[in-house]
Formats: sequence, structure tokens, C-alpha cells
Amino acid sequence: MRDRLKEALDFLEGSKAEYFDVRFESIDEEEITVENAVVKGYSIEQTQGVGIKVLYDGAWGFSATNRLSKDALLKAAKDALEIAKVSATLKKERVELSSEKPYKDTYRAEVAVDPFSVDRGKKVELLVEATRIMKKVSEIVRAEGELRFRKIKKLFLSSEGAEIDQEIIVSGGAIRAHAVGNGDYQMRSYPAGLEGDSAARGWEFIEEMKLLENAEKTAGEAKDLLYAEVAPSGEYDLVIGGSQMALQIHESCGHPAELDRVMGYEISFAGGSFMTPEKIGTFRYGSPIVNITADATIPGGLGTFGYDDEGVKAQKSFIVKDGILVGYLMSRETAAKLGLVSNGAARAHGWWSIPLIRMTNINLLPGNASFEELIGGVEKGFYIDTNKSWSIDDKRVNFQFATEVAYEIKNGKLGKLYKNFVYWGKTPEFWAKCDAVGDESLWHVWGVMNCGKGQPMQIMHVGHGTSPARFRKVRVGVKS
Amino acid sequence: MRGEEFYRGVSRYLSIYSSATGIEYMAVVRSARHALTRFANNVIHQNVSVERTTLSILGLKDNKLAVVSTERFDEDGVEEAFERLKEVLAVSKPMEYQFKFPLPKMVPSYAAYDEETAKADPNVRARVVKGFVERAEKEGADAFGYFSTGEEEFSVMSSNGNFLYHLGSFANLNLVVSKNDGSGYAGWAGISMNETSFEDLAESAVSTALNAQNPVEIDPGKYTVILSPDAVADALGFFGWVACNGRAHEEKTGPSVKYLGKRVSQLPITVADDPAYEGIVPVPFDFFGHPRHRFSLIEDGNFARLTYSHGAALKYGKEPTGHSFMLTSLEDSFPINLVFEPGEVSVEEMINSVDRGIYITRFHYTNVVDPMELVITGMTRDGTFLIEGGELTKPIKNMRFNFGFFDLLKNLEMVSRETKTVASEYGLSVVAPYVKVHEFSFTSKSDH
Repeated sequence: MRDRLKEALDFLEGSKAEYFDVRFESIDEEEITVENAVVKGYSIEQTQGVGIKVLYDGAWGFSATNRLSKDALLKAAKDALEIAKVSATLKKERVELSSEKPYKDTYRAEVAVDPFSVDRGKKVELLVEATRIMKKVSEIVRAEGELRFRKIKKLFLSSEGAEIDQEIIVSGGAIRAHAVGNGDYQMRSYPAGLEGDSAARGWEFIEEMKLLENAEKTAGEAKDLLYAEVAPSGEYDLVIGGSQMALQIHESCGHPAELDRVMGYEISFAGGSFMTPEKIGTFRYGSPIVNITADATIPGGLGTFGYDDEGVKAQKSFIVKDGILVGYLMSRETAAKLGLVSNGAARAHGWWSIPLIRMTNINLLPGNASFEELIGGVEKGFYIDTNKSWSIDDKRVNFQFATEVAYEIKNGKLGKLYKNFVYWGKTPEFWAKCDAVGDESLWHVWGVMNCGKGQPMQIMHVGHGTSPARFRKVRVGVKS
Repeated sequence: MRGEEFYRGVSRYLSIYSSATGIEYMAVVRSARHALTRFANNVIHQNVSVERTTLSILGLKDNKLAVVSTERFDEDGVEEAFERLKEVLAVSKPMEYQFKFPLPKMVPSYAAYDEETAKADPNVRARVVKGFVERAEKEGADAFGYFSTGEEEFSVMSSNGNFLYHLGSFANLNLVVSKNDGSGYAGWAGISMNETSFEDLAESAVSTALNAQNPVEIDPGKYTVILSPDAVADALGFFGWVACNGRAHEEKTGPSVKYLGKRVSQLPITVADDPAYEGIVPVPFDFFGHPRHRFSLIEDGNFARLTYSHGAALKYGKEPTGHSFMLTSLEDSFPINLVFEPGEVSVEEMINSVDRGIYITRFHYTNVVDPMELVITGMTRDGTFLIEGGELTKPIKNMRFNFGFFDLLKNLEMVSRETKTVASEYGLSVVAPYVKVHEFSFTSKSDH
């Protein structure tokens, strides 16, 4: 394949294009879905293809194909070049790229056990048993378990001489209990909502999730939610659990820090960002204990890699430091517009996609509070966790999130369970209310598999390292 | 595109290896050429073209199921796919009900192809984008959006002797025009570029943006609103997915438990899944080869029926309705050609009838808060206006809403005779009118 990619590069060499790259990707996926101890989906998927990106006369063209013959790749290269020429007819200024060393390197994500080498029957049995345990609770109408594994191999060659070979393995899973009774329907998920938790790790990550050990508790909580009171409205102190914090960071810090979004590239879809460039270095994003990084180097993080899809080496940088907005997630093109250098956040969904600025691992750095101290510091409030619903405005300011569970906190002690919990606010006001962050022992990098962005829509896997954190006087509840 | 003969060749290989392994199959092959030109700040910043073909095989043996997807269509590729199916089926578990594939059925044919649109090159798309940009620049505004064209082949084949083939073209776009603190929006989808006027779309987005300058803040609360077709289409998508899925009804996890068979609107409204409706991007059969005809969901104001996938129909003793679009979630179903049929009043009459209310151009980032009542939250954007004395008087800052979909139907006062075809997910379209609704609930406001 390397030789065939080089032939595409050679073709473009004679074209007067100022920059071009070719990216081969091979993706193997395995997904297993079990419901009520019955295998409802066992899917094996393989895709291979090549995406070719050309910068000609200061404008971009991109073409991709999963026909891998020499002729098909040369046609894709030619198409990308022709598309770039058309793009150039509407340019106002030339695209410039921040400088980058052309690396020649190989990166292999470290996994203890390759999940593709694990016996398939063992995977099925794990989910069958977990769902069987959940189904013992009579109110559970559907007990679900899922596992997913992905092996991504990439070969990136650029006109600048970069030659980067990468392999990343992703493992993830979840269990969910759907309960019906008392005139209601409620769902409880473990270890997180939506698609659960995932990491750039191997089968060992699945074993550490302890799905079997948490199945009974998950089903029991789903049942308890049916009979729980609806959460009240008002202003309350909140201790937000790790998996919900991951969503909070994702929507209110990760997305607005994408510099292409800041520059308007996403306005027609999910919108722009309040984090405009004049705010860098002075804007108070949150309280002084809020420190948020973009770090693609955390071992096992779902947003961890060796190089991004522009050949920029994985790195760590601050987005928020001591509560002040200090940086962005950048590509080579957007960084150059601000006179900066890319921090390696340009990633593509697959061979068929052009790289966009995507979150890597966006992390709230740990504080120094134990879980008992977080709860103990609340007179009247709630401990909430596991995302159920999310929405944020087109500048990433006005948000409304809902969680699966809310436990009352009274005089520093956890109390009874409430359901249908909703909280809302405005991003900088909300983060200014953060007065404690859990310590390192509570810190976990949550994996989000389904981050959507762009037109056509691209789905990216990203990570969020966080501990539970405490926020004062947050608005809770809405009435439709 | 690869053409029908190519798919018949794939079908022959599938038959050979089905017989050799004893694995029955239902297979879906999709081949698409998808080109998209995206623009922001009046320049093209992303311009892509992708060709992709995928074969997905749902294998069945001893009442166990497995799916293998591949992009290799030669005999070796199909043989390897069946080998994988065999491996996975060996460790799978039998379904709790008897699964079987349907026998071949007659399916309808809908006009779905326009060659000019299917083959449109980057210059064609750039000319359209240039028109948008020039119209925005004339007003000192910026244009943002995308314009996409292409074609897709879709073939369904099975060990029961089924072979179906469909070829369609598509074009869709959205356009946001922004100037200072106001913006406007236009969107469209169809099978042919010639079905719409790009000039009119640009004019609509530009005029909304100009009218949206200097928005004022108003307090959240309950207001009479007029929702544009884009906003109505957004809400309809949730109705289709959350409220119409027969499986959720059987499990008692959806709002149909409370509302199916009931009168949900005092107006004689009809919402249907209708691949034959003018302007819709039609899909004539589902992944199991079930034919897709007009299927009304709300009829004369009554929540009349639900969709059942092939799997859900087998499990719950129902008839499949032509809404199976996932091979890995066999009991879920959803309508993909939604049409909210027009009413009798004009938009102008509708606005004139509002003493004090709000006009909403578009919803943003909607999501379900409570599935049982289908409570939806989201924000307004790209042109929200106060209506006073029957006229749009001033733009207002965006607000967050939380409304129950069935409350919205209950509070429906008027449906317009004008409709728009709006781009939906999956590159398809929704047809929706303007509607007037009282007691629409806004719960908070934004700074812009």
C-alpha cells in the first residue's frame, strides 16, 4: 500500500500543488449487543480506503475512495486536485499552514490484551450473564449489554516528507437496565450513559469495568427510579459525578475551544463559540481552581494517539489555566491564522473524511478534595451522575443537561434518590461556581465514542479526564 | 455508479456461499458518490468527494443471527465474509422468537434520479455557493453553509430469492447568512437541483438576517408561537423515532402507551411516512425488502398507527410496515419520509391572527428530556421575532424551550397551506408546514 500511496504522491508532485497528503486507513470493528440474555447483534465490519488532500493555489480539495487499485487512487488524486482548483476560485486569502517537522515514525498504542484475540464466546458470555442478572429484577423489561472493539491502522504520507504509521486499538462497553412500572419508564446505565465507557486499551479495560459486579446494582437503581420522587426546581449546590462531568467538559469547554468553530467554520451546523481570540489570556472562564488541558498523550485515553491526521505529534496544552482561557484546539491552517503552531487536534472519522479539529483528551485536572469532603461541604443539594439529555446553544453558553440519578445531599450526607433531574445555566457563570474538584484518586479518563461534528457529519472518539466536582447555587428543574 | 448487473453478480456469489455453508442471508449493498462543498465567511473551506460501497450480510442459522460488513465484492471477499459469519454464529445465542427472512414482495417504484444532479461537478456546486456569497456580500453579510450533490445505489438481496435495486440522486443544502448580531437561515433537500430556486433561498436567508438586527431581550414564559417548517421538521424527527417505534410501545417505554389511538389534535392534521409525496427523497423498500407505501401515523388528528420493523413484527405478531433500516438493531424502526400535510390558511393569515407571540425560524440542538411525554428542549436561532398586532415587529434574542410534543399538538391552532421540503438526517427530506401553537414554553434566554 505504501508504494501505491507514493504513486499518488508522485502524480501530485507534478501538479504545482503547494501541499498534499495521502492517508490510508484500515478499520476493523467488532460489536456485540445482547438483550435479555439473547444475542441481538454480533457485527464484524472491515473498511479500507484512502483519503487524499490537496492544497492548490491556497485552497483545499479532498477526494476519497475505497477502490484501492493504482488507477482508482490516481483518479482520486486527480479529483482532489480539480476540486482544490475550484475552491480557489472563491478564495479571499490563501490558506497557510503552520510549520511542522515531517516525522517518519511508527506509533503503536499499548494494550495488554488485544481484544480481537479474545475468544468470541467469552465476550458473548460476559454480556449474557450481565443481562441475565439485570433481568432478575421483575420491572426490567429490557436488560442490555454491549461491547465494541476497533483496530485502526493508518499510514500517512505528505508532500513535506512525513511518513507515519500508526495503530490504535479501542475497547468499550456498557450495560443498561430499562425499567417499567408505577406508570413510568426509567433507564439506568453503567458505567456511563449513551455508549458507556471506552478507552484506547485492550480487553483488560473491559475486565476492569466489572460489568457483572455492577449488573444487580444497575437494575436495582433503575427499579428504584420508578418509585422515586421527581427532582424539585430551585437553586442547589451540586456535586457532579465523573461521567456527567465528562459531558459537561465536552459540551461547554471542548467544543467551544475548537479553533475552526471559533473561526466560523461550523456556524451553519452546531454553531460557533463564545471563546473568541481577543479573550485569550484575560477571559475568566471559571473559578481559579479550574484547570483544563488538551492532552493526547495520556496512556489509554480514548483521545490518545501518536500523531494527528496532519502529521502533528500528539501533545499536551492548556485550554484553561487557573480559571483563565489560555488556548485552543488547533489544526495547522487555523493555528497559522493566529500566528501559532498547531497543537495536533486535526483528526478524521476515517479514510473517507477530511480532518477537522477534534477534541483529544480534554481534562479537568484533579483538585484535592476527597469524595466525602465534596459531599460534606454541601448543606442542601444533590449528587448527580450519568447523562440522560444534553443541549447547548450555538455559542456554547446556554446549556441544559439531565442526569439519570440525583441523590439528595442534606447537611453533608447523601440521602434519597430523585428522578428526572435537569440543571441549566450559562457556561462561564457555571464554571465560576466550581469551588472544589475531587482528588487524583477519583480521576478517570472517560471515553466518548460518539462526538459528532461537521457536514458531512463525522463521528469521533474523544476522552475526558475528570474527577467529580462541586458547584454552588446551580439552577435546577424546568417546567414545560 | 456500479449498475444493477454488478449487484446481480454479488447476489450470485452470496447464493453460492449460502448454499455451501447453510447460512441463510439478507444482504444490503449501498454504493454512494457523495460530494459536498462547504463554505464559511464567504469562502469555500471544505470541498470533498467520496465514493464508497459497502456490503452488509445478516446471516441466520439455527435461529442465531450475525452481521458481517465488507467492502470486498469479488468471490474471495464474499467467501471470507461467510467464513466470518460462520465463526460468529458458532458463538452466538438463538433468538427468543422464531426468526425468518421474508419472501420476495412487489415493491413500488418512485422517480428518484436526476442525472444532472447526480453527476454535478465541483464547478456546479461552486456556482451555487458563489451566488449565495455574492448575495450576502451585497448586504455586507457573511454566508455559511454547505451544498451537497450525488447519487446512491441501494440493493437488497436474500437467500429467499429476493433481489431489489434502487438508484437515486440527491441534493441538499443549508445556508446561514450572518451580519452583526443577526442571522437568517434557509435549507432544502430534493432529488434534483432544478426543484428549488437558489436565488429564493438566498433571498430568504438574507432578508431574515437583515430583519434580525439589534435583537431585544424578552422574558421566558408561555407564548403563542409560529414555527417555521424547519422547526416543525426538527420536532417531527423526534416524533418518528421516539413515539412511532412499535417496539417502544410493546415494551411500554414510549409515549404511544398514553397517546396511541387517541385524538392528539383538535385540528384534522395528518402526519405520514410517504415516499410518494411530491418533493420527498423517496426510499421504495426497506433493508428486508418490505415495500414502502404511504403510511399515516397521525390521521385526522388521531395518533393512528406505529411502525414495526421486520424483527419487531415477528416478535410481537404484527405486520412489518417497511421501516427496518438497521441490521444490528432488528426490532427498532423509524419513518424516513415524514410529511406533515398542509392545512388551509396562509402564513400571512397565520401571522395576522397573532396578537402577541413569537415567530421561530429554526430550532437548534434539540434533544429529548422525557421520552414518555416526548419533552423536547433546544434553542431558537437564526431569526426569532416578536409578533405584535398581527405583524413581526422586532427581532428578539434566542431562548431555550422545553415543550411536550403532544402538548404542542394539543395546542395547535393553525396549519399553513404552504409547506417546505427540509433536509433531514441520512441525506433525506421532511415536508412540513408552518404551524401556530399557543402556550409554547420558553424556560431561559441567551445573551445573543
